[in-house]
Amino acid sequence: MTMTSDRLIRVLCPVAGVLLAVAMVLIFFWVPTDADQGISQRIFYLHVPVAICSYLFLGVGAVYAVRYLRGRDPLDDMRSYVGVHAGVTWGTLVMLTGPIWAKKSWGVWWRWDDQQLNTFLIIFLFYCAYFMLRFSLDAGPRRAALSAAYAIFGIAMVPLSIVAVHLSQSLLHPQLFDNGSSAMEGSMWLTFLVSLAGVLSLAIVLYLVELRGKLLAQRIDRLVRRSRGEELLGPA
Amino acid sequence: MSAVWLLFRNELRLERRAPQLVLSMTLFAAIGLTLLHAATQLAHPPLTLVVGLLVVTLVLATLLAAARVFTAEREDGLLDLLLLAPIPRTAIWAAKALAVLALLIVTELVALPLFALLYVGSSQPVTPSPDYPLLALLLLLADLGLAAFGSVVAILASATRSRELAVPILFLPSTIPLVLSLVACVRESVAGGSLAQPLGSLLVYDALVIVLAWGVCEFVLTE
Repeated sequence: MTMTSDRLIRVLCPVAGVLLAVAMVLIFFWVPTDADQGISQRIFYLHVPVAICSYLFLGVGAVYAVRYLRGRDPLDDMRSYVGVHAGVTWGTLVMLTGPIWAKKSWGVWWRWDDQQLNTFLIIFLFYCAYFMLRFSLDAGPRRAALSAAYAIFGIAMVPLSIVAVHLSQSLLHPQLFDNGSSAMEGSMWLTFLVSLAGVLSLAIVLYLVELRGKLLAQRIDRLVRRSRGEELLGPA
Repeated sequence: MSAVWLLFRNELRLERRAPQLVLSMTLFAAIGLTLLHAATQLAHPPLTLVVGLLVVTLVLATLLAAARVFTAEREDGLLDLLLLAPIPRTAIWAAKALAVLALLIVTELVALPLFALLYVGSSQPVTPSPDYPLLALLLLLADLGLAAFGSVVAILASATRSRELAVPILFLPSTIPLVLSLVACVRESVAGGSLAQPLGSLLVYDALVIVLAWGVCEFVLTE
């Protein structure tokens, strides 16, 4: 795992750097300004990839949570935790960039009648509570199992929240994707895809680096305890 | 099934001998409804708003149950005995969920007449008047989800160092889709629209939460 992740980090790190640099050039100097929303629409090229990353890593957290409950491998618990952590971190960026876009496009920081904003807010709040649970439990199998259970509930909240918020509101989010065909022209699509690839590469690198850091911290902690002659208490 | 029934009866017996939760929850619902009426003070408030206030009061009342329903098991070591007993762990969760459901129904038996008194029978009644059978059905459906997830949260929070803090933080975010669906049902019924979608959403919420709770409680119920 370490060898593979090392290789991935080494490959993806420069790839992410290049893709993000290209994306910045495309966003600010190449892609045409949106006729409807003006320059503020350019935040879309960062906001949407960041939101996709957030959902993706929350999904990773849930998948490893299921794997942990099935196999009880402490590594899966750590992968699940780091996945949720990455998802919430990217989610925080979504919560920062979303209102900026909303303010420029609609003149308000938040719209309670917007489906996507409110769905994300519910899921974000749910997953923020994950850390409250995890950090108020002592390290060990019990913490891993309870955190995994909560992470699984969290991913189930995604479709429920989408449906519930859809029922209660009208669809007023800036529509850049139509049903079936895109409202964006080719250059916009290309910029979006380059930006998505860059943000995704960066997110994967950060995920792997954090996972490696956590595993190293765990090993150091075990070695320190062993050197003190303390009983091994299980994974941190 | 018999294990669930036995444990559920035991929960009811304990509550009947020393009624703590049922009194706290009904009193909380009464105080909550009065407080929310004082805070809003709208002349002829819309039905969707006051139903929302009623549901939020009940969600908050569920917190009391979720905070207490597993306390004895953890603090007095009863959980270890239950886990040693030849019964499936899901039966322990199911009995707790049924107990919370029963507590919620009793709370609503007090809260609904109070709701009618304060918001419908007052000098500035809600518009339009609620359809009580529909409201009771919606509350019952909401109770299923609240009881199922509330019991899981009770299990999770009982293992933490800060149970009182953990329960609301873990429980409340998950109730937002439920409250949205229930209020959407009321809004559609007032507007004369179809209830199929919001009612379906409420049912899916209940089904998903119950299935997930059933699936994970085998793993989270540990000594």
